Amino acid sequence: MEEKLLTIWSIVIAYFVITTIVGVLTKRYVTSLRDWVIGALPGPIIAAHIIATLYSGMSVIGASGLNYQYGVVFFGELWPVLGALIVATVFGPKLWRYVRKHNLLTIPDFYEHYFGGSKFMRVLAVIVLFITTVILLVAQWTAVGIGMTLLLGVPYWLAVLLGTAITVAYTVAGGVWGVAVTDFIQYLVFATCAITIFVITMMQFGGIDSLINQLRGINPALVAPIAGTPPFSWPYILTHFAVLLIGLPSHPRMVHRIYSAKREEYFKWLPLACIAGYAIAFLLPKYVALGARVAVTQGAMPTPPTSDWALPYYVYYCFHPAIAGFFLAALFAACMSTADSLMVTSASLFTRDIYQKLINPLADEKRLVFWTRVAALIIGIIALIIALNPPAIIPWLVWTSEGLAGCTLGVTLVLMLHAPRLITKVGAASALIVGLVVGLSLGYYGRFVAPLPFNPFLPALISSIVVCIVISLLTRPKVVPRPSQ
Amino acid sequence: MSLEEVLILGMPLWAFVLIVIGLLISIIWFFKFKPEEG
Repeated sequence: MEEKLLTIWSIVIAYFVITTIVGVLTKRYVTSLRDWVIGALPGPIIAAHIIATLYSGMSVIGASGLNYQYGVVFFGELWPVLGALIVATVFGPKLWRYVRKHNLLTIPDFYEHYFGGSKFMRVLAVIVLFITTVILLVAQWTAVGIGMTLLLGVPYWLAVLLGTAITVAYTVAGGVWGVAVTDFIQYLVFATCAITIFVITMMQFGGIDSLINQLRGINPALVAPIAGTPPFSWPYILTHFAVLLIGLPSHPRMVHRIYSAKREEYFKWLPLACIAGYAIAFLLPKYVALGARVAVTQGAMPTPPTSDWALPYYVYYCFHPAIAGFFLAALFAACMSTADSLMVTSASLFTRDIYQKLINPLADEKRLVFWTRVAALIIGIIALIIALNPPAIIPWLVWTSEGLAGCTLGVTLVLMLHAPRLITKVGAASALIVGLVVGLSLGYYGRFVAPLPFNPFLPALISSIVVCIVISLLTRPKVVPRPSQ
Repeated sequence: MSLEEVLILGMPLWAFVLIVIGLLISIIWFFKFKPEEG
């Protein structure tokens, strides 16, 4: 047992050391607030940055845990793969051109500028962004804590603290440069790990068909393509798909990545690179989780306490310690690569959107970078404190964050970029408020009062769209007819 | 083979079908997209 733990620790520590050193070394690229917040990233780096940001703790242990618990029905959960496509096509080029033309740094910058310098829209966007980013940050720290507690026997609080400290160190130092360069390494780690554990699982169970047959032997419901009972009945799955298809790509951590591309021509091949790169890392662990379900029945591993623990348990008990160490490094890579982007996006809210724009417009670049680093540190600590007592399982945290993003930012951003005649300042503000209030209320009801037969954020999404378009049409400035000669 | 059996066996595969559709859209986008920058 000690030798096993030693092997796992060695690999994990090597990963932590390499990531931290590389991330901190990027500090030399940061001389201004612009460098820290968006930078100008080359093609391969921005591609890996987008995929790694999309690929979170939820993608590794949350999504595969659902396959462990509910079986093949959760292969329908493909919005993250299509989300990569939407980020790079629907939002990508148009938003990139706009922000570069007007020298914008943050998403609230875009809202303020688009609506004629409205400070109110900036503040509203800051509130929405803060809520959606902090909820997701908590989910990432929770996933890090689960992985380290389970596989390394480290106390949960220490695990969360360690993960936070390393991520904060390189994010504070290098800003988006530190985040993007480490994301590149992190993507290589988790893609290689996903391929490795998939191949080993298929070899163990004799291929996909054999695995499906063994699952059917355990419980026919595990291979049922349509689950019959809530919370994951077919109407729920469909509405869930609709909500997160817009929610995931419009989440601030994704939209803000678009700002960082150095050249517009990258958007030509980014959709292809993102969808292919993400599919490998996302789909393969889902098959591995099905193997975990069979392994539990065969007595090869103990029953995990929750579905989130299924994949880590399986790898720990049924794979070589070197693979288990590699998997743990990949899990940290997935969580840290999402958490660091969230920290860049949320820290910039305080420095750019509140300090520079509302408190001290004359602050020099050195001071701005300093306060952005302080803000990143404070946000990391706030999320750490919440993560020490996580309010629920990881999927719920992630879906709440992305559901809220869809019915607020998703609705308004799509209209702002593609149907400007259907959105005014009053309409956009109403949509943000309605989406946030209805989404939070129904999300709370569906989780803590009674499960709903559909995704709780769907009514919020629909009401946000209707409110935005109706109010915008009512408040659209009238065209004054020219007086006749 | 019944429709249900086809669905059961096909479920893990339709993920790939959807990804192939996504890849096709990306390839079309690759050939159609024209950057505006100089």
